Amino acid sequence: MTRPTPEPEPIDLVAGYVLNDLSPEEADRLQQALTETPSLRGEIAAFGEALALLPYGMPIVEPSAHLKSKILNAAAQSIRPPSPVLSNVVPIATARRRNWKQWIPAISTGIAAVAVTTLGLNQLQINRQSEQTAALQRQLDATKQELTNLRRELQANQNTIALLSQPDTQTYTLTGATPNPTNSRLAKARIIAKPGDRSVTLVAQDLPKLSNNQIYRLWAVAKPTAAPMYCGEFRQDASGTAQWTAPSAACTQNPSQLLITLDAPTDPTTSAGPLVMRSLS
Amino acid sequence: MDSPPLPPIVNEQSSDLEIFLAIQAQQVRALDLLYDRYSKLVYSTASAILNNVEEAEDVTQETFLRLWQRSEIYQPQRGSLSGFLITLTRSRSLDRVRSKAARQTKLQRIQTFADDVSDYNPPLEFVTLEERSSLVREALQQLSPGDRQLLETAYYEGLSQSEIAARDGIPIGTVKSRARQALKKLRTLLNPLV
Repeated sequence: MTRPTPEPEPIDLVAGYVLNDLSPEEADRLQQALTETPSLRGEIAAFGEALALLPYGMPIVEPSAHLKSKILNAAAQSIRPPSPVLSNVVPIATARRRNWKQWIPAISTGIAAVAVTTLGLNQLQINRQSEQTAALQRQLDATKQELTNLRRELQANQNTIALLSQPDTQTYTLTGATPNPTNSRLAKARIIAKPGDRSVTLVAQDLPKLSNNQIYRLWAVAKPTAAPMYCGEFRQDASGTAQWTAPSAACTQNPSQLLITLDAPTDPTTSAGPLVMRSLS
Repeated sequence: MDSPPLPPIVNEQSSDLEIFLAIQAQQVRALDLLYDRYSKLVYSTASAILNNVEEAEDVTQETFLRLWQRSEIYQPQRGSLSGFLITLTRSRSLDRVRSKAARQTKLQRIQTFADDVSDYNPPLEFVTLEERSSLVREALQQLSPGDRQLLETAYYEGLSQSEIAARDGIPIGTVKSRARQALKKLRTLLNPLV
């Protein structure tokens, strides 16, 4: 005689969720339990924390000594302005900024020139100043070129800007799951849509180009623990933009998360390929 | 218009949250401190999964730079910075292992990204790294060797319960139930930290 398997308690479902072993039926039951007992969400966090403490229990090994300076140098090279998110503006060009460190040579040159002048070597000072002037002129030329490029890109993105100017338009920020193999940068993208409107616009940077037998697919997660819903496929154009119509209005109805996967055009839309980008949940 | 608050000045005594806020303000010194605090743990986690020095260093670099470049991906009210770094490291390491084995990510796996927890404040901040290690080792010793190995296999090898069941010749229901019970016990034992 076989005994029926007892129904798992909600806390077992939480453990299963953190271990990523819930069956679809169990995921539904957990969803129901979370609705009835919102405090269970805290348990999900606590179980996740407990699992993430496991590495504290293993032997600790040290990375090589040069790794730290490698990371800090890369960080110093990529300093960005603070408060980068929650802007309602789609970046239409690769962020360009000047690192104050690039002015160090010019400043050092200036200081050296002053010291030399006190020794009476005025000609040397004039030469150095000419070098500074030339360097500044090069900066100015580069800035002008940058401005021209920005104007061109601005022109090309007028449709997106028009969409953004509508009051109920929502934007979602997505980041790449792995760096672009060609330049090691993480892809970033904005999805722009109006809630309940099936038209979807994507503006991406550093999203790898597709080969002929590949396609990107968008998936929306309506609520935590819900299965992702297929929301159409796309290829970005040369400027990184794509527009398409989602199969369901639910795709843009304030999803809790958006995911982009890499698939073959012939793949069924009932399961997803490797994850490429995801929105901040 | 209000001017933004001045970024905090951080040092070795600063809390993880203070260091994170300074990272948001793009202070390289803060990343330096965070690296000193967590690089060994991050690197050890990556090493345990990847078994390769170069790849483990790559993942360590990716993890710290990801937080530096996309600080919005960590939300302090959802959990500890330590847990976030380790989870990110594990996920990046397992992605590398999986992309070698089979370039395939199933829906079941990406479901788990849809987390929604708010205002979670773990007490981890008040315990030193050495105390954390000591508490975790004690807790792991209180699990049976089999249960401990089951959790570690799932964690470091990224095997699903059905893969563990197939590999070890145990019914899937038994594997699931044992893993859940083991995690519940671990969560209780680690209550002072979570």
